[in-house]
Amino acid sequence: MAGLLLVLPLVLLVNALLMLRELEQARGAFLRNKAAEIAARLEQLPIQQVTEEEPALLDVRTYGPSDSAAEPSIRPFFNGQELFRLEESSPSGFRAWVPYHTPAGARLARLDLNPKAADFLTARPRQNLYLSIAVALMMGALMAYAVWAREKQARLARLAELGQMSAVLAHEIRNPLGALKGFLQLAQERATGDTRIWLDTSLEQTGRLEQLVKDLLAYARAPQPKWRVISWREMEIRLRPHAPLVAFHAADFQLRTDPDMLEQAVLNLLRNAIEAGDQVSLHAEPGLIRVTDNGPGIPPELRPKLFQPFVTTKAQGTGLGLAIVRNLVRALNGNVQLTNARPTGACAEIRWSTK
Amino acid sequence: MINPILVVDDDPGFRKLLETILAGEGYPVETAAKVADARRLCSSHSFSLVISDLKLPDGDGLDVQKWFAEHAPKLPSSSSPASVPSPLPSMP
Repeated sequence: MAGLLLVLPLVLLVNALLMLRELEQARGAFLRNKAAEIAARLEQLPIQQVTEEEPALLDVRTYGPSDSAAEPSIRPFFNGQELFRLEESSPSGFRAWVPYHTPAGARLARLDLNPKAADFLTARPRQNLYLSIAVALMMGALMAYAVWAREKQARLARLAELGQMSAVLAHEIRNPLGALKGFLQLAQERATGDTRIWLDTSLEQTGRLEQLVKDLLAYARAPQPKWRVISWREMEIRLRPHAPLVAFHAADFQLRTDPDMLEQAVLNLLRNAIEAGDQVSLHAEPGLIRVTDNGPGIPPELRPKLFQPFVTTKAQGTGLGLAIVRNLVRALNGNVQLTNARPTGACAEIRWSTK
Repeated sequence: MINPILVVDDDPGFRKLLETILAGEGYPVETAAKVADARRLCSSHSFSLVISDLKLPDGDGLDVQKWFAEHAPKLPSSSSPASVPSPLPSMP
């Protein structure tokens, strides 16, 4: 089916091209005939009348045998060596030289014809050609779209499978991990010396696993916002304890959101910023939250896939932070983007409509 | 001699952890993996406290709480959401 979709417009296109070529030749023949016809009429009628009656005739000039002395190029006509000459590159486009006979003797006519007079022959096939090109382009675009849509569908299905798998895995890991952490804490409380240090490290590593499980669950779960109107001040009170060194710049305003989801999204951005730089600021106004840091900024090779899951530059990152932010912000009808700040650092913006 | 604490959790790791913590504090502990086991134990023991997970294979923590409220009205209980132990209420 897809092959037919592509072959059909190609057949139409080739057909239209062939027809146009044939008619281009017919067009030349038509103009030649026209020139011969005009010359025949010049045998009977005065030039003035022929010019008036023939709209395709732009200019006409006639020569007698005596002119061939001054114009050697027309001599072959009077010798009977040449019967017709065509100069298609002349300024008017189509110039024909045709000998004719009058009662006074042989004469030669130089006829400048308007090539547009023959356009009626090729106008329709030309239209067909353009139509075929348009159809072929549309079919091509349609095919490309179909291929793209199928690939996107497959990619989404893969991601959904991955999400489900992550959720199951994370859930199954969470319980044993909780118990493991609990026993490690118990052991750590009683341990001394080296054993205590080893258990400290074990607990740290458990913490990393816990974060991964938490991120996986947050990423795999489809966010379901519980909307309510809050003041920005309330959000700031939630965020501040997690980001004591961040400079907050915001006047109070009201926003309709899911406070838990927005908090998690902003915290993820703040966490990235705090890990990247030592000066982090947060600016908020209706419709915008901007987190800026003075770190090294976003490496160019990472830019196109920043929000894809499992993309990270950190030695100990899950690469899910920004993917979770995007999921949350989209569920809140907003969008998030990350750019490089000047002179250095990164700038993350969450935007939403305030209408 | 005080009555034991009943821990109801289907996750063996958490069950053992709670048992270890509570026993470490000197409390006698009994454990059950599901609602039916908890009910059976109730017929042979008197408990001073029941700590239960919310999601159990044959019911949920609220079922356990309701059942004990009917059969042992004086008993305090705690349901922990999704296997995360909540703070232990003070002993009677």
